[in-house]
Amino acid sequence: MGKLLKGRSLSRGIVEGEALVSKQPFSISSAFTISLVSNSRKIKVADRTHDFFKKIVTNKILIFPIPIGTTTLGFVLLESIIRKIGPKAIVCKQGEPLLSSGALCADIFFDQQFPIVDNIDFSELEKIESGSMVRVNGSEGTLEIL
Amino acid sequence: MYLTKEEENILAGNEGEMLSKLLKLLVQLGDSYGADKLIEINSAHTVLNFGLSFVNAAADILHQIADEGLKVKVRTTADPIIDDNYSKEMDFVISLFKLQDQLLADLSKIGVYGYTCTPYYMDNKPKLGEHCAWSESSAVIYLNSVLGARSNREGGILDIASAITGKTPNYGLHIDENRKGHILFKVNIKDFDTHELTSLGLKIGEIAGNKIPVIEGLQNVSYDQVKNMGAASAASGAVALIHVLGVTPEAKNINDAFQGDIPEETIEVDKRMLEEMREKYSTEWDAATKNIAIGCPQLSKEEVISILKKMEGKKVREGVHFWICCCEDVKNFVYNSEYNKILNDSGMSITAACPLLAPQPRPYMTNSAKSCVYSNATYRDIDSCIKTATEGD
Repeated sequence: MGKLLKGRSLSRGIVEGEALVSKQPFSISSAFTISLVSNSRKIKVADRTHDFFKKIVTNKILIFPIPIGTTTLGFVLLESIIRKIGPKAIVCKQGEPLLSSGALCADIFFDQQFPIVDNIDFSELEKIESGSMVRVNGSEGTLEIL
Repeated sequence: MYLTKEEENILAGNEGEMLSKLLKLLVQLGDSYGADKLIEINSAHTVLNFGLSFVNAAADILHQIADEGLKVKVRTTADPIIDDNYSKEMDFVISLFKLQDQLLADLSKIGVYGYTCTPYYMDNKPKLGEHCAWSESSAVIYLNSVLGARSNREGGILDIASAITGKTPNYGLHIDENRKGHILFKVNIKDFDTHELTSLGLKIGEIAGNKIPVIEGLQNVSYDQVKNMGAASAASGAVALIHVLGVTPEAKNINDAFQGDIPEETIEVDKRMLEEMREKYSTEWDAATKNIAIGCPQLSKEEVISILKKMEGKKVREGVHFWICCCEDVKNFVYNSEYNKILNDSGMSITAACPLLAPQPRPYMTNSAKSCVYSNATYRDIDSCIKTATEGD
């Protein structure tokens, strides 16, 4: 078993995938909207102020300190989950209800799980290298580095 | 969390599956964030307004809610929609709004009225201390900061769930102690203008993230200026409440704003920081500006009048679009006022739509810091925007 980091569960589900890590707060609205509106098959980050800029987030496990930006975040995340073109899971230092709402709506209204875990010390999260394999257990609120 | 018998009954599905799901969403969310109970709200505002394909899933939920015949329990407005006053150049953008008719019909069916990001300039203006469930980051920060009402940053569907059930989980900014300031920003700038304040808003958002800033040194700002500054902080960060000492209702003095505590951090703001923000968030185009939009957030009556007065005797150059964006009430005020002549003579246009919808044709210029976060716009003060519109770049 790899290193296990314990946090808080914001939404349930268990997934494994490649981590994509940034130390910068992340605006999902700025990053995802253009790919969604243009009906792309993958989401390429459109926020030019972010170090995820032009990176593909599809099927990645996103790790960043906090979500920021305007309040379309909830349904933008929801849309990316339902179309299966967004990340697989999100892990952050501190989440917010807007972020949770996208995942909770996917679960309650569309029966699709998208794990979000927060309350993990960022000094631990930032040690994870982008590209390394991790497992997120949203139900238990854990992140395992594989 | 504690649930009343009535709430448990709804959750059990005895009043329909959809109502049960909407309440479940609020209860699960409240449980994650430590809410002890649900509280009644007086007002809601939703961001489920653009019928673009990025809302397919959310629009689907809304459609089911409307089909079930569920109605909002409180005054509920929504963000701006497409306005017929757009030019031909916008036809391409409008053609992308395939869901707009369905979305509008459903919103109207559940009882949503009024489409603006500044519902407080219409009749959705909550009072000090009232609990609400608002989306639209610029409106939430205005509601918490200027009106002293209380809302967390809600989002599409959460806002509708609260509007339909009339409830929100009791956590976050609904609770007194969570409205305490965290970071003190000391502004050492004399004679600041609105443009410097919006740049300050960008800086505050970047530093504060999701914390509560307290601003010292801005005693003479207007509520409209706090609106523009706050919108920037809510875009570059996730700020939902900003205390401006001597200006906003929960910040009569420093003790009030920090609730007797001391700041976690103190930041001295100078002009250099604001210049840095202007450079970071502005897109500089080589080609001549073709499109200028003012009003993100939408303009108040006073802001529109101020711009129209500046435009008196001036004319927008051929081939350039110059929009001012405001809610229907303000737009109709202009049409029926002495300022309508200036509007018509100047060749500028007024619209109740969202300027974020107007980045075509490009190059696009604006005075809005928020617009610059979300589109590749050139960021200038209002006088430079007017000069570009009337005299060229």
